[in-house]
Amino acid sequence: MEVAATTLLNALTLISILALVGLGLTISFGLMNVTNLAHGEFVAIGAFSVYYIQSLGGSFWLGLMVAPLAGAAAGFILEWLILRHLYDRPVGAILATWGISLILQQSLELIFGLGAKPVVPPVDGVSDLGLITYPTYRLILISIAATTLLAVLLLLRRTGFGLDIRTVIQNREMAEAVGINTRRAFAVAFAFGAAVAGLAGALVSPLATVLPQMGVNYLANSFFVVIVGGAGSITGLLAGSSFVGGFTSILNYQISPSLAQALVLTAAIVLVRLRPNGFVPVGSRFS
Amino acid sequence: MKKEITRRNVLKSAGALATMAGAGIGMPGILRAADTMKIGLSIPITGLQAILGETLLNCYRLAADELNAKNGIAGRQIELVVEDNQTTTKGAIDKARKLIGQDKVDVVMGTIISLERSATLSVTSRAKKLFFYPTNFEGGECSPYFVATGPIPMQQVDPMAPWITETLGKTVYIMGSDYAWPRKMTEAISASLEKNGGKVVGADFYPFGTQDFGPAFQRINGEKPDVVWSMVVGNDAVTQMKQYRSFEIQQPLIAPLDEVFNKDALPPGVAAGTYAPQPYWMSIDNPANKAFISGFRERFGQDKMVNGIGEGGYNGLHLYALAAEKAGSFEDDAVLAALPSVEFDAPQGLVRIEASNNHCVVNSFVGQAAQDGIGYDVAKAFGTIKPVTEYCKL
Repeated sequence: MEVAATTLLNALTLISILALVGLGLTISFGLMNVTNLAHGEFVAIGAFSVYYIQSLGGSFWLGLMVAPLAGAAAGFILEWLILRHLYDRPVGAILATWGISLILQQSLELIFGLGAKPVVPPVDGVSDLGLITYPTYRLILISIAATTLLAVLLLLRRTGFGLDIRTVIQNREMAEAVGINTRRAFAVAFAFGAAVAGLAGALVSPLATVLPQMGVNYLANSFFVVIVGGAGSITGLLAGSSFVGGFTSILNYQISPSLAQALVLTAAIVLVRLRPNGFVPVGSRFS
Repeated sequence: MKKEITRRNVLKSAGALATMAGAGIGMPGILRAADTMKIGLSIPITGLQAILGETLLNCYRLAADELNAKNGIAGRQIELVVEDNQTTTKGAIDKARKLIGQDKVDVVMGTIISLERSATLSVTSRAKKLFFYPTNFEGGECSPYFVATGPIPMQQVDPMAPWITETLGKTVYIMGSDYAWPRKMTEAISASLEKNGGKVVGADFYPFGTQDFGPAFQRINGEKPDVVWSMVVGNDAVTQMKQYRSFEIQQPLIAPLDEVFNKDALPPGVAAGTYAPQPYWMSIDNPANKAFISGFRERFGQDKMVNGIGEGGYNGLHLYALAAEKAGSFEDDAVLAALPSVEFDAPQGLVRIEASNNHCVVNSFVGQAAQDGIGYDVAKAFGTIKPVTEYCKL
């Protein structure tokens, strides 16, 4: 029982992070058909925001609020400067975002210097959950992630803006024909995805190593999440992150972690063969 | 060249600028190529080991400056050719080829983790070029042109195992990064603990870039070992240490940390109380160490820390200088022949190279991190340990 409970919480931590990072990817991938290789850098920008605020004497929580704004600003600028010119050239966009990713990494290194940056967690210690004890900060992380994802889900399902976005994802030409400003929808949605990635970066900063290159580690896994789950849908995103995150956490405890990682990736490849459009394809009832 | 240094002249050419600036601050004129010797440095300035790379580079700079301020090496000024190997195999191979083929360096030094070293060695041993490796070395590689100034597992683990079973406990759980050094160390630890009535109850190796060590801590809570020995290195060690603390694990922790890492990469206090085996600590009390630390801080900043890897590099350069001086030559074979006969009064104590395997006779200490989580107190000193290698008989 104890093992199961800890494994579940470990899995939820990982799933939370993957889902938050994957959200922006699923938006750019599903909505704009853009493979954004600079997405990992939004995570790094979020983490560096917390480091910077803390180094000025601010609290972690202030950093956590600044991080999504920094992410959104970076996303907005990237979309406006580069991406909007490349919507008709997906391959060009891959190359451009990869270049941007390198530029952002090097810029962070130039501004903040080499090496990892220390971030102090807002709370120390563990919480007693009755059956097991678990680090308090991880419980906070899981709750913030769950709240954010729920808010995003409501935004997409219950607001006019969400309706626009879903329309554009399902059929861009038709959306334009009925008068939706797709360019504006793209810009806002992209900045929004970057903001959530920034939030993810801020949330992992007390747990992970804060480095300009840190985003790369999240990018690959998040792409798997999006492809396995089905690009462009929130339920697909949740399904994909639960698959990758849950599987990794369970296997890591049972077998060698290096082997576990290889097995998860193999399983993902097999799944993509069996369900090329992911668990929850766009346009299905649940997307 | 009696012109004054004016903006116009400065803009004329960079070459002229160098000449005049050199003469201006009283340097001994321009050195002809034959008046310098070149040391090629392959340093992980970026990538996984970026945290430690900068300190290692600065330790080489310090040693070169010290020698250049006197008489260089045998009258030749040292020119350091610095390359960033990016902590990658490809980077290390490319940079070793460049240093040897293009820069024609007299000796190659540097690299931190195994993959950088193996890659560099694959180039240097074929080129019959001397290569000095400063870092804790898992052993297993042997070449007449390869000199290791860091400790091998038997120099750290063999003296430490009885100390662990007596003071910390009998059962040990190991978690490491998934590469050669932690795996070889684990073999050595298992063998050594068993001889002393202890036991390794589990060992897990995590790929580089692991974001979540939760499952390992879950294992620790399940296995309930007396001691946890971590060999998760580089940037991943930051992740691992932060998460270790958040899980509030009570067992004593042995971790491959040092003063530089604790200060620059870890949040304050995270390393407090952890143990580490090292050949060098900043707290070692002797004149050579005091001079080393003050020289380093004068040059690179009063708040800077040094560590065992940096000291290994510093010692390597000085040992090379002594040997080349004695040989009266920079030929690889001549320096090698003289190398075992020189001794260097290093910050850790007297060190020398063992002729039978080109490994270093080093000191062995267990340090315990102080409450600030940065510096270490020497918890136990084992003295100097001779490297004994089954795999290497030169």
